[in-house]
Amino acid sequence: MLRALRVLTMTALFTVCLLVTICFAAERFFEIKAKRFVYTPNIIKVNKGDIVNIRLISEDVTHGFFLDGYSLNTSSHPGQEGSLKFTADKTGRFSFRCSVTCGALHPYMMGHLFVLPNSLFMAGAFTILLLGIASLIFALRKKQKDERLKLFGIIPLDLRFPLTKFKPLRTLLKSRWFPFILIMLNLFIFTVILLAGFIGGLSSGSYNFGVMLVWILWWVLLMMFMVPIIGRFWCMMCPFPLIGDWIQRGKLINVGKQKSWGLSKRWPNKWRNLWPLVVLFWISTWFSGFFTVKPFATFVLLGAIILLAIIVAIFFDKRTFCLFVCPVSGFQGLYANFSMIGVRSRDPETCRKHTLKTCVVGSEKGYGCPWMEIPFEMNRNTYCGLCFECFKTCPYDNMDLVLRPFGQDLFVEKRRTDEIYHRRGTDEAFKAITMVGIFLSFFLAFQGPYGHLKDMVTAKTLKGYLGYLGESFLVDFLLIPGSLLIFAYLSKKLSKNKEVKLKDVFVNFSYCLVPVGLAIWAAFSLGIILPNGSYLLHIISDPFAWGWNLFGTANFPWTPVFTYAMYYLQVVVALIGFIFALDFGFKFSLKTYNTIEEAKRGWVPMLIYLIVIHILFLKLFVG
Amino acid sequence: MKKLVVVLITVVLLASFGGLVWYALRHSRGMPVEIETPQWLTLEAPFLEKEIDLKEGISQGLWDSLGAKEIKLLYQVMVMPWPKALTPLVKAKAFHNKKEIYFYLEWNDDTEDRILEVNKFSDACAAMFPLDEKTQIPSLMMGFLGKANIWHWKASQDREFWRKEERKSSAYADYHYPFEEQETFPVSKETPKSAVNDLIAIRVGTVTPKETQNIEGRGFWQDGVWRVVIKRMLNTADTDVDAKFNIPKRLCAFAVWNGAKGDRGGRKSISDWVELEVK
Amino acid sequence: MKKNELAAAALVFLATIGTVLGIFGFENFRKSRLYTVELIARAPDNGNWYPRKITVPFGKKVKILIRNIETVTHGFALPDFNVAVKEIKAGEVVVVEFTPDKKGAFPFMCTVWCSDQHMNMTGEIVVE
Repeated sequence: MLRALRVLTMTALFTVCLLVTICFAAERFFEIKAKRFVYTPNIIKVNKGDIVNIRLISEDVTHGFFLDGYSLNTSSHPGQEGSLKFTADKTGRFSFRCSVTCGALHPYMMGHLFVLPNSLFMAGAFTILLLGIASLIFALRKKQKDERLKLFGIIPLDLRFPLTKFKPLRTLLKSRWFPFILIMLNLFIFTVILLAGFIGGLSSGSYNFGVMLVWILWWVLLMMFMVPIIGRFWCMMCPFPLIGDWIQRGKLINVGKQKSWGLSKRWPNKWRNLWPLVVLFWISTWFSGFFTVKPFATFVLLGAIILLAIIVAIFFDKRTFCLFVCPVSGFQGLYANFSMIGVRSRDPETCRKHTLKTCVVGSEKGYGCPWMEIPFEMNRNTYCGLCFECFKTCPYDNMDLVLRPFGQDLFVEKRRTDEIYHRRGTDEAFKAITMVGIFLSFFLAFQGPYGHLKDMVTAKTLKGYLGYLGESFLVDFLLIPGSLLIFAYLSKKLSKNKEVKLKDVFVNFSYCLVPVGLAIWAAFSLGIILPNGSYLLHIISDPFAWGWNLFGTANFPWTPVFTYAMYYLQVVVALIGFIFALDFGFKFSLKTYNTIEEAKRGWVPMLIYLIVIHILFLKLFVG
Repeated sequence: MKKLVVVLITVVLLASFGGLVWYALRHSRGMPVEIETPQWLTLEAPFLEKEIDLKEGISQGLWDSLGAKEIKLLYQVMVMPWPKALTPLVKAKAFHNKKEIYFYLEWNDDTEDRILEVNKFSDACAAMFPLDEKTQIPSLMMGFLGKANIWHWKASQDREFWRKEERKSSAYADYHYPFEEQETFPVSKETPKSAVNDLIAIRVGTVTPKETQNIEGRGFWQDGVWRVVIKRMLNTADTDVDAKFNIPKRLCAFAVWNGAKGDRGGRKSISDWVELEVK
Repeated sequence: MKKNELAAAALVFLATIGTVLGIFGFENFRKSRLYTVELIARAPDNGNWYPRKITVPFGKKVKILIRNIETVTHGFALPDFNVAVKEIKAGEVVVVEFTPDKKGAFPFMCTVWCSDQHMNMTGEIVVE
C-alpha cells in the first residue's frame, strides 16, 4: 500500500514537472575553455528544449568533450577548436568529460551541464522524504518489540542456510589447494600489475594494466559486488600475505609447525580493533591524487603494502598484517557484516564437547585460525578472512559456509573478545564515518567539476595539499562524527531515557552508515566503471602499451556506456542504501532504548539525520 | 639471534624495494637522458643613425655591416596541409633609428617566384609579433590564446607595388582550403598599397588585414638568395593592433614561403620564438 | 605430501619470476623481429624523442614502432618521405613504414602542440 502510494506520488510529480516546464527554446552559445584539468565555465545551465552550441578551446594540450546522457563528442587541439550543437531534450544533470588523454587526471576532468528542470533530483528528493515518512509511520505504529528481528519485516535476520550442505563445496573448502589455487591466479595477475606499474612510469594510467585493474576493475568489483554480497572474499584470494605465511610456516601449502617463525610479537589488546585501520586507511587516502592515476605510484603503493605485509609477518604473529595493518582490511571487515555469506560453526554442542579446539590450535590437517579468531564462537564476519583453515582442522566438519540475509551480523550479541579488545565501539563507528567522509572528498575531487579541488589532491601547491589534508581531517573526524553526535544527543534527549550512555547511542546508530556507505561507494563505482570501463578492453590486449594485441581489442576506443542510465542507477543504489538504513536504524533504536516508546521518540532525530544526508548525497550524484 | 635475522631481512627487503623504486623513477619517463633547456635566439636591433629609403633599394651595404642571426626553420606540421619542402634557415638582422624599425631577412631559394598564375605561387616571408604583454607560448600558432600582428611580405605583391606592371594573366589562384588545381577564382584586385600586408590574427584561420596598413617593404632575389627589408614606424598610435617596440625584450617569429615548391597559406617553413632586443 | 609443496613452489615461481621473464623475453623477441627501431615520443621537457637520431640503410624498408609514453597527445611527421601520423594519443602505439629512396639527414617532428617546448620536439633520420 505504501509502495503504491510512492509510485503514484512520483508519477504525479513527473507529470507536474513536465507541464510546468514552459520552454521557449532559446539558442544558447557557450565558449568552453579546457585546461588541465578543468573546464571554464565548469557548470552551465540551460532549459529543456534549448538549442545548445558549444565551442571547445584547448588552452594547453589536446582536450576532448564527451557529454554524458547525450553521448556527443568533440575534441580540440590547441589552435584548433571543436564544436557541438544539439537540442537539450533530456533533463537532468549531465557531466561532460574529457575524451582525449590530456594528462594524469584526465579521467576525472569534467564539468556539469544542467538541463532544467532537474526532475531526477526533485523526484529523488521527494522519494527520500516519502520513504522517510513511511519509515516513521511504520515505526510509530509498532506495538511491541519483535521476538525475532526481521529484515523489512519479512526475512528473519537470524536465518542461515548452510551452503556447505552440498558435498562438492565442502570437499573444495577442505582441500589444501583451496583457496591456494585462487591465490596463485591472483599472484600472476598482481605480478603483471606490478610489472605494468614499474614499466609504466609516468605514462597514461588509462592505458596501463596496473592502474586500470586496481583502480577501475578491482575497486569497482570490491565495492559493488564482492563486499556487499560475499564479504571478505577478496581476503580469501589476496596474494599479499603469501610470502609472510611462507616465512612463518616454512611451508607453502602443507601443514608444518603451528608456531610462526619470526619474532611472533602479539599485537597489543587495545589495538586489536578497527582503530589502527581507521587511521591507516585515512592516511592512505592522502595519496589518492597520485596513485590512482600514475602507474609508478600504483607500483610504489602496492609494493609498499606487500613489503609491509612481509615485515609485519616476521615481527608479529600470524595474520596481524591482514587484521590490523592492511588499509583495505578495515572497511572490508566492517562492511562484511552486511554481506550474504559467512563462516559459522553449526552445532554449538559439538564444539562444547570438543576439548582440543583444533580450529584454534591447529592440527596436522590445517593451521589454527591465522586470523586469531575463535571459529567455534565466531558470530560476525569482521575479523574472518575466509581462509577456511577451520574447515580443514575441524574433525567433526562442524564449520559451515552459510547464506544469510543482509546485515545479520549487525544484530548479534557482543562477545567476551569484543569487550577485551574494545571492539564494536567507537572503532567501528569511526570506520563507518570516515568511509562516508572519504567518499565525500573523493567524489567531489574526482567526480566533480571543481578544478581547484583536483589541484589540491594532486598537490599542485603545498598549501593546497595541506588544505586537502586539513579538509579531509575536518570532515572525517569532526564534521560527520560531530553532526552524528549532535543527532545522537537529540535522540537521547527526545527518548527521555536518562541512563543510556550517549556513546552507546552514537555507536549503535553509526551502524546505519554501513549500508549507506556500501551504497554510496557502489554508486561512486558506477561513476567510474560506466564511463571508463572500455579501457579494460584495451589493457587486456596491450597491458604495457607496447603495441601488443593479445585479444584483438587493443584498438578499442574509449566508449562510455549507459551514461544516461548511470544517473538513475546511482539514485536507485543510494535509495537502496537508504531503505536498509531506515530498516536497520529503527531496529538499532529498539536495541538502544529500553521501551518501545523511547525507541520511537529516539528514532525521529536519527531519521531526520538520514534524510538530510541522503538529500545531500542525491545532490552530489544528480543535483 | 632470531631478532637479528628478522631485522636483517627487513633491511634487505627495504633496500631492494628502495632500489626498485629508484630505478623505476629514473625510467618513469622512458630512457633517462640529459634534458636540454634550449634558449631562444636573441635578435638584437641596435640603434643606428641611418635611414633606408626603399624607393632607392634595400641598402645592402648597410646591412652587410650588421651581424646576422641564423634562425632555423621547421616544416609547419601542426595544421594541415603541410609544406612539401623546407627552407632550413633564414638569416635575420634588425636595427632602428628611434623613428623607424628595420628588419632584414635573407634566405636561400633556387627560383624567384613573383608571378601568380594557376598553380603558381609567390615566394614570401613574414614576421609575427604577439600583442599581449605576457605572451603565451602557444601564441606561436598564429596568435593562439592572444593576438598577433603579422607583417607578411609577398614577392608577387612586391612586384606589383614597385613595378606597377600589368599582370600577365587575369586569373590567379590564391589559397583556399583545400587547395588543388581546380580551385581557381578570377578575382579582381586593386593595386596594393604596400609590398607588405599588415595583418592581425588570434589563431589559425583568423588572419585579417588591418584597417591601417603601416608596413613598407622591398625584396630582391639574386643568385638563389632572397633579401627582403621590412620597415615600420618604431612606435605607432594604436598599440592594440600594432606591434610594440618600446619594450626592451619581446618575442617574435618568422616564416618563409617557397612558391616554386607550392608553399602558400599553412604550407610554409616556420621558426620558433626569437627574442627581439631593441637597444 | 612433499609433491604438493614442490608443485606449489613451482606455481609460485611460474606466476612471479616466470611471468616477468616470459613477458620481457616475448617483447624483446617481438621487437627484434618486427621492427627496425622503437621510437619513444615524449615532450622535450621530459627528454624529447628517443632515440633522437635514427640511422637506417638505404633502400631497405623501415618499420618504426612509435610509442607515446606520456599523458598528452603527440604526432609524427617525416615530410621528406611523406610519412606521418597526425596524432598519437597518450598511451597509443603506432607503426610507420617507408622505404628510404634518398640518402642524407631528414628531420622528423611532432605535429600536435604538446608542451611549451613543442617546437623543439624534433629528431633526425639518417639514411646511408
